[in-house]
Amino acid sequence: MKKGFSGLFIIIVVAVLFNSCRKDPSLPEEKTPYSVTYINPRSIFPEKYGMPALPADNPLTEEGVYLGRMLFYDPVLSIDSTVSCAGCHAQQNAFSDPKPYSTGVFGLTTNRNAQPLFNLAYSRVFFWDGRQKTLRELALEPIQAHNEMAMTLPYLRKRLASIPRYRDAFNKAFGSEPDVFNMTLALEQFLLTIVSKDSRFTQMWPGNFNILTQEEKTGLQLFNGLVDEDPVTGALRGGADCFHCHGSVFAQANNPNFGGIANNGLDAVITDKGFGGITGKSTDIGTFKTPSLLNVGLTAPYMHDGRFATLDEVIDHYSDQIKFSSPNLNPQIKVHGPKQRLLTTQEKAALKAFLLTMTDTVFTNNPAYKNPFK
Amino acid sequence: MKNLLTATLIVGFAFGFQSCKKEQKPTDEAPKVLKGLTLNILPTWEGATMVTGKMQYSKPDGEVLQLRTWGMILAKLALVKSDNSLVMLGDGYQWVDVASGRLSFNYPDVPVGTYKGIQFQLGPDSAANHGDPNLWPSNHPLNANLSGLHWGWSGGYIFQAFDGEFKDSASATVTKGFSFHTAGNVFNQLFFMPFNFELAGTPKTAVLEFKADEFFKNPIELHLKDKSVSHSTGNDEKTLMSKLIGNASDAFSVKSVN
Repeated sequence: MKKGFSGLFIIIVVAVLFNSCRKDPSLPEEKTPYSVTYINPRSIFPEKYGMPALPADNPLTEEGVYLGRMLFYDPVLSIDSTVSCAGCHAQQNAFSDPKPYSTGVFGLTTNRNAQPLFNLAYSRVFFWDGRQKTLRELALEPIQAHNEMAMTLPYLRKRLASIPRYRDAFNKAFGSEPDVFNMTLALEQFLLTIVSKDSRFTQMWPGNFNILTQEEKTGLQLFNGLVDEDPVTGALRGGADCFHCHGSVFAQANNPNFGGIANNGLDAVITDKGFGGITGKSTDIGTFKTPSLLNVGLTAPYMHDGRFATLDEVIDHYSDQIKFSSPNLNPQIKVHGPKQRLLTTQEKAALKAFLLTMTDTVFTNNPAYKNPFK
Repeated sequence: MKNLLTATLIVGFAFGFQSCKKEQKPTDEAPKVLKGLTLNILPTWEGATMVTGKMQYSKPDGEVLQLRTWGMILAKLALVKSDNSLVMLGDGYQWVDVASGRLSFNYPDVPVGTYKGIQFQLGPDSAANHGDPNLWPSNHPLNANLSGLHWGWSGGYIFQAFDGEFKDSASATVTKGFSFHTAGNVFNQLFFMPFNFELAGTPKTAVLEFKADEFFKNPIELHLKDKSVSHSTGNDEKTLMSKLIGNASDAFSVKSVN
């Protein structure tokens, strides 16, 4: 008995001692209850774009991206199952909407033009007014907006959980039942993988100019050229200075404080506060996120309110119609006021020809982005 | 048998406790690196903290201005030891962005010692200036997509960008734009900010004062109504930029190291 007790005591002491070295039992066990296939980001993002800062807590997986793609194309995300994300973001239009304002559930319309969706991994703010900073937050807004999909999140979770294909897809992607948080992660993954990188403009970068026609080269010079003043007449001449806000391989400034959010002189009197409506600062009123010009030939109509139906109208605006009294006008534009640049007809045509080199039909036909239900 | 049990217990205790002990470094060795130096940039106008988006900064000629952008790409950012050797902070590059408040930078390991100042170069050297800006990691100061201070294939980095609006006088109602972008390796300039300090013991914070007013008025006043744009191209613009950068000799100083 005594022997047995001593032996038991030794076992307990040793067990306690070894147990004291173990990890905190409150920490989750490391386990992999499901198996995912991780996607190497280098297979998504081209070297000439550089590697974006991807969300560390949401690695790209084949299962996650596919689930996000299913959700993107599925109208079950809307309250009456009539409107999907793709309904306002069509691939053939570089995931934009050819209508100035999109139509949501019950025929309701949006307040601003739907922005194209690509190269979002390189953006730091989203929506015209820059109100969101992550794609997972972005994804939740249209789903809940009364004039877009009008869905409630608890009901959406229930609905997804009632659909076998989503029970299966969530389990494969996250090892979970359908839930709203993982839904946003899946949508984020899919949106991150939408990359436009095969336009002639992108192929040209960073200096392979010989693939351009003469007219396109003239347009490039205008795009990248600074505006100058004729010392005799005082008229503006030289370039069109597009690059300050649409430079870089993305044809877009992504630093919100340096061209990434700006007022481009559309209105003397501001009716939509834009970024100013989010920050509450008077110095932000009338400023909007600067869009990428990649695929600009496919994303009409233009501006936050879709006011310009054609690229010609856009070029006319920057050439002839800047409202220099517009509050918070971008300094790069304002610096030339009140003179308009007044491009010639040939210059406008050349600029347009160059802008059309940014069209990427490989992207708009990429099967990886197509509706998985068809 | 009793002895055996006692011995087992002692060994068990010793082994158990030993396996839980952390590795300890010898205590008689003085630490050679300071655990943390923070550089805080303090943008000022005539000694007062400067903010973007306020039309309140006056020049001697009566012009009043506000900044929307004041961004800078720094290179060779380093502490200067008393023997003139350099301790590079990180890889020496930094992006300062007044508008977004990117004004504080932490360097976890800095050698202890006696220093006589801090230096940086405005803009990267030619090789980095004309290298591919997208190859830098996404959070690196030279990543073009991060700062936006880059002109694509045509011109390398914008070393310093001042953008904003001005009025001819405080009572004027019309505002105009100005834009001064310093670029091109001819404008690479090394700035040394003398300040004797000791790094030892607890983490330290150095405050660098960046005086915007110096650029615009000391010793040469820039009259914005005469010329309000320069992208460092062409003779006129280079002349203006030379004045702006020439004015910078007293624009940077170390305010404190504590």
